[in-house]
Amino acid sequence: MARSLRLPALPGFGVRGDRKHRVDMLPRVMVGLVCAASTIILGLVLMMIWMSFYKELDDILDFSFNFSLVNYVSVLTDPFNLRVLIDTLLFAIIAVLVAGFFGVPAAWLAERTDMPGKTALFTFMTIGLLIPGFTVAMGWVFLLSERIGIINHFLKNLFGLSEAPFNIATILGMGCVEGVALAPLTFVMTAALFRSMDPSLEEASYASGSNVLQTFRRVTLPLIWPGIMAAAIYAFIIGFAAFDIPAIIGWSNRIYTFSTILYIFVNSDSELPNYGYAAAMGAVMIPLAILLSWWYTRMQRNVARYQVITGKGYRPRLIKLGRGVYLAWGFLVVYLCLGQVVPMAALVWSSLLSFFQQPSLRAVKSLSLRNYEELPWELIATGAKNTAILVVLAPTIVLVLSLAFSWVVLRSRIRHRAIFDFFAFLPHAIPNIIFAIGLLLTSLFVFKDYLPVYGTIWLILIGFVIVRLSYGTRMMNGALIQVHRELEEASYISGSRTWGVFRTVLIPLLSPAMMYAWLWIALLSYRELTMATVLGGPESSTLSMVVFGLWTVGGMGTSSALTVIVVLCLAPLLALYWYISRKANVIREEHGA
Amino acid sequence: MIRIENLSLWYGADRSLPPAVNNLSLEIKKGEFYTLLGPSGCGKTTTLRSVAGLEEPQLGEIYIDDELVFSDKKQVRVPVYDRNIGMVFQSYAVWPHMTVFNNVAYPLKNERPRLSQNAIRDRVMNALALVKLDGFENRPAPNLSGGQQQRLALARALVREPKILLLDEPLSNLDAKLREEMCVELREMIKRLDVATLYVTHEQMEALSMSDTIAVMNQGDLLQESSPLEIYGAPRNSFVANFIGKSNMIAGKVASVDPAAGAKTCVVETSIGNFTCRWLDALEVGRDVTMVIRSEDVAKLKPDESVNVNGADGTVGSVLFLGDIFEYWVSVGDIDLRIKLEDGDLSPGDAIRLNFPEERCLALTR
Repeated sequence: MARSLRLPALPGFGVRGDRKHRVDMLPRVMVGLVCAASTIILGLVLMMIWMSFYKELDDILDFSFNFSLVNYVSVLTDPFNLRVLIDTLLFAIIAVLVAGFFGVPAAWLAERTDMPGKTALFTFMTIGLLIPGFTVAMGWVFLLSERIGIINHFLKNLFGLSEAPFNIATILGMGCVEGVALAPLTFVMTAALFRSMDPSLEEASYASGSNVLQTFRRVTLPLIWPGIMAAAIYAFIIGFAAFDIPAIIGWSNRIYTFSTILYIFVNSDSELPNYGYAAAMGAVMIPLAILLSWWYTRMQRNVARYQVITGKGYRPRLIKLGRGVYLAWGFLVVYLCLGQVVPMAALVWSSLLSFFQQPSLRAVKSLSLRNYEELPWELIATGAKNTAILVVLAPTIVLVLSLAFSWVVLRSRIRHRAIFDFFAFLPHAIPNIIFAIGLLLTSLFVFKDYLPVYGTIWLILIGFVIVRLSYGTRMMNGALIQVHRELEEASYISGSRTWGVFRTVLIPLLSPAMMYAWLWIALLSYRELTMATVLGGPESSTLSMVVFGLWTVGGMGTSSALTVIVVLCLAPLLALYWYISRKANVIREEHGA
Repeated sequence: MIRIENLSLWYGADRSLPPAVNNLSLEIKKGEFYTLLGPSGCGKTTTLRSVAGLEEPQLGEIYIDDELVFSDKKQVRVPVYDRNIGMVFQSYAVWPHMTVFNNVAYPLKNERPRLSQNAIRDRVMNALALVKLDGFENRPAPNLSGGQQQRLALARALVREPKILLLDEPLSNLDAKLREEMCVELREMIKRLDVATLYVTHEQMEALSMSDTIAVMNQGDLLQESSPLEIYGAPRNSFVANFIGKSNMIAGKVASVDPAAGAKTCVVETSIGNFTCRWLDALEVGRDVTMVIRSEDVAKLKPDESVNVNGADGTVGSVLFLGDIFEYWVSVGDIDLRIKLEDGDLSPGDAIRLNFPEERCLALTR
């Protein structure tokens, strides 16, 4: 066999053709898994691009080579698309600004001051990370929509206005809601940044005669800036691809963003789905998405330069707030109200009314549990069953694949192994809805006979696994890097093959990070809406889809009631999550939402 | 027990770049304590890891206990888990999630056919007793001190009674005092067990005090392989001379060669005068050489004393007190020399008259 065809020596990967020595199977299995997953990810992207060159649906079905650029021409020349693009950019920028406005100061307060109640702050922020985006969106519709918004009504009555002062169903309104929803993510990312910054750099500045303000301006801010930029880009990528908040708030007012318009192209009620057009639109977005993630990775590298890696028990200098404590907590309470308390209260209020009313004594008298009783329980049972399948299987499969990916990328000596890391990261770079559509098209046209997964829960499962792979591999990479390579080598030296190394050394050492990642992916699968709505059918609906379905047909009361139930079911999971994350003590900087 | 023949290893695919290990051959006998010594990046650890099977060289052959474990020509690559070696890592690689007992028992649990629980227990206890860790078996491994973790790693390496022992800078993470104690203990233990040991270090004192044989490496090449005494007293080239001990190096040219048979001396012309030196390899007149003399071999003369050959006058630049000895930087002409003296009565600026004893000066080719 030619040398280049041989699998290069991994630890224990080396024997061929002599029976005296045991063969190490696991590396081969892992390489196989990684190649398969990478093929699927790449295949979906290529599928999408291939589809984009077809005008007619029939041509796709016939596998004819009737290619044309007509889809691209119409995508790029339609002024409506340009407006959607500008709107989406504006929406994402507003979201990033709002998220930063709340998240960064909160992180600074939590990590660099002596503010009391930090545990409470972290708890609220974690809850904020987990509450589904559509919940907050629905709450804000009840508060600030032009027609029924509680705050609008209150202000109209107070000042005798003829028109509602606020309208949530605008790019500005949606951007603010998205920003409030993204603030916990920004908080978690920048808190890790403040935590890992070498405090001696600041101390050196104090020792050189600078005061707190000068030090912040000249040392802290320049050091932390790449990290803040990285967090901003990360949030921007999520905001750009956001589906649930623009869908819940924007649709009624015909305000579209990239993800919602793509959804309409493939799921239109009035027209035949225009797959080729949607594919072309997705394909146009891919370069932009990759550019953004390249930028993000570059920023992350800058961050790493200033980080303290030793993890020695240093204590960063805490700034005494004094009376500023009241201001600090006042600021945080405003955020918590905007982000969680007020919209949830509005949801609960709406869920107790059979038709929406403004808060008043009369309305209080008509509160009832009718909505809860009238919920479509059969649908919910299907949704709950499917959600349960996803919540258990998606994180499990993601973890197995992520371990394989991380091991191959970080520990094996396969040539060009870094490319696999890129494949695993692609699903984060490219908006989820693009992958969902790619998967939908593939299951409809390529696999329809061989692998009938269309309309089943398994299709959604495949989608979830693919898009969470980037998060899973980030987590496992981070954890594996912290395991000293010699711990594994000592195990090989002691006579273990790779499976033994995993069983006795790696999995025990990685288990805190694995538990944490498992639970986090489980929770994200629980609240996921975007991919589920694109890929789901009547038989494969999830709980979030049921909520969304009720909302889109105008069942405000019932959808609120179901949302309240969905959030309440989150509570035990949240408690478990909190318990494990405290035990795991893993670096919480790589959250994907 | 260990034989390496013409081993070459490149990191990366480009073979036109200099290799990490360059055509290296060596042999370690049963019970021999063999040390690879060199600065970081010289290829010593890579060589050791190739013997372990953790790196795969591109060329050459490796035999362990007369069994061919690697050969590029014969396509033999025995995987690391089948090589039956003991190895102590620089970081000790003590598994933090196991007790002391389980750490040591781990290699035994991989033995086929399986060992009985009692056999494992006995052998673990023996290994722990050997490194004086008996009584600690139920402790979680992270609850040991650095020195104890180091012993634990040694017990784990020895528990399978391997034919060869590989030690990758095992003492570098210990503090100075503990390191000296471990030096003595380690050598005694290895001599008692009569196991072929390949030791890798960049600390010359460790190498000199423990080894039977030292091989000095630089940039992938094995420069000199000799006993500690020889490598200290008769370095073959200026890199070895400079790396082991603190040597003064003065550039010069061979001015004349002692014509007497077996004399092995020559006169070296330098910018600070002519000096008579020994040689190890025959030299011809006009050859560029480096004159090497160790800082402790330079002698101080009284101001009125003079010698026929190898004398020089200088000025004291700075003085360092090192506890048992004083170290002076002395300017002679345009050259700064480091010399060690027992008396500290000289101050910066004082004149000093030096003698380079003939038998201590070495002329080495550059």
